[in-house]
Amino acid sequence: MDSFDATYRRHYQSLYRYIYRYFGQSAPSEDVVQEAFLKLYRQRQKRPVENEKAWLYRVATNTALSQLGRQQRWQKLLPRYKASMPQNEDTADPLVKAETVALLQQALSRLSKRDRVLLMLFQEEMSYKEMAEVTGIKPTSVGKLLARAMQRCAKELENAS
Amino acid sequence: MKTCPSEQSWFDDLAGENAEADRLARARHLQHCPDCRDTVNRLQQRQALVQRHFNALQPPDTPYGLWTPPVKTALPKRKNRLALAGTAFCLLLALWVTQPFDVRCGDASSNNHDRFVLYPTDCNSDALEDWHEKRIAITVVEPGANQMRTCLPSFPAQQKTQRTAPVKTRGL
Repeated sequence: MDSFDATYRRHYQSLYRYIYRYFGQSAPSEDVVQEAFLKLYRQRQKRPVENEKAWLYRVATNTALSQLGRQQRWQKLLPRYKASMPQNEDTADPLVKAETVALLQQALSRLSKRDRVLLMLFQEEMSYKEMAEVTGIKPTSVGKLLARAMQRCAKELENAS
Repeated sequence: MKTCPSEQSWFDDLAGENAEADRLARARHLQHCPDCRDTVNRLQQRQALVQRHFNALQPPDTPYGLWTPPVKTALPKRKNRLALAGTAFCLLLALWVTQPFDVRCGDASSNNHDRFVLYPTDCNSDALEDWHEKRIAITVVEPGANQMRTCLPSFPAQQKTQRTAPVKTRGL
C-alpha cells in the first residue's frame, strides 16, 4: 500500500474535478474532497482499503449528493434570500461558459441521482468495472444504465436549448 | 438473415469496453451496414453533445496542497469515553450501595427545623433529646437496609415543649 501522501497526490486532482461538476463552485468541492481524504486517512488507521480510488469516489459522491440535497432543501425554504445573494465568483471566470453550464445543471437536475453519478464518472474516463465499484451497481448493468442516462441527458439538453 | 449488433454493443464500443477483436469485427460490419452507421452516428452525436456541456463545467483552478495529517485530539475516542463514563458510573454506584450510612446537613425550613441531619443512629438513642432541644430534625439511616427514616419532624409541638422543659429547669 502506498503512503497516504502518494495516494493524495495521485487522486486529488481527478477527484476534485469530478466533485466540482456537482457543485460548479470551488469552496464546497474542496471541502468534500478534503472530507473524503480525511475519512480515508482514518479508515486506513483501522484497516487497509482494498481499492482506494473507488473508495474515495464513493465517499466523495455520497458526501456531495447529501450536501446538494441539503442545499436544495435550503434553497426551497429561502428563495428570496437566494435571489438576493451575490453571484458566485466562479461563474465570473472567463473559462466557464455560464450558459452551457446552466443548461447542463438544469438537465442534470432532472435526472435521477444514479444517472447523474454514472455520467459524472463516465466523464472521468472510468471503466464500467470502476463505476460499478463506486456506485455498487452490478458491473453487467452499468453499460445499459449509462447508455440510458446518456440518452436522457441528451434529450434534456436538446429540450432545454 | 442480417444480424446487426445491438445498440448497446455499439455504445460499449464507443465507451471502449469491448474486446479489441470484437470491435474490429463490428467495424467491418459497419462498412456494409447503413443502419448501423446511423445508429453509431446518433450515439456519437449524443455523446458529443453531453461531452461538450460537461467540458464547460471544468474547475477554473485546481487547488493542490500537501496532505497534513489531522492532529490527534487530546480527548479519547467516543467508544473509550463511553467506557470510561460507564466505569465511573459503576464505581459510584458500588460506592453508594456499599456505604453503610451517610451524614448530611441541610435546610429543613419546610419542616420547621433549624437543620436537617441524617444521622447514623437509632431513634431511641439518648442523643436524640439533645438534638430535639436544638430543634434539629433527625433522620436515621439504617446501615443494613440503607434506608432513611426521619424521626423528629413528626413530633407534636406540645410534646416538644414538655420534653424540653425539664432540661431548662435542670439548668437553673
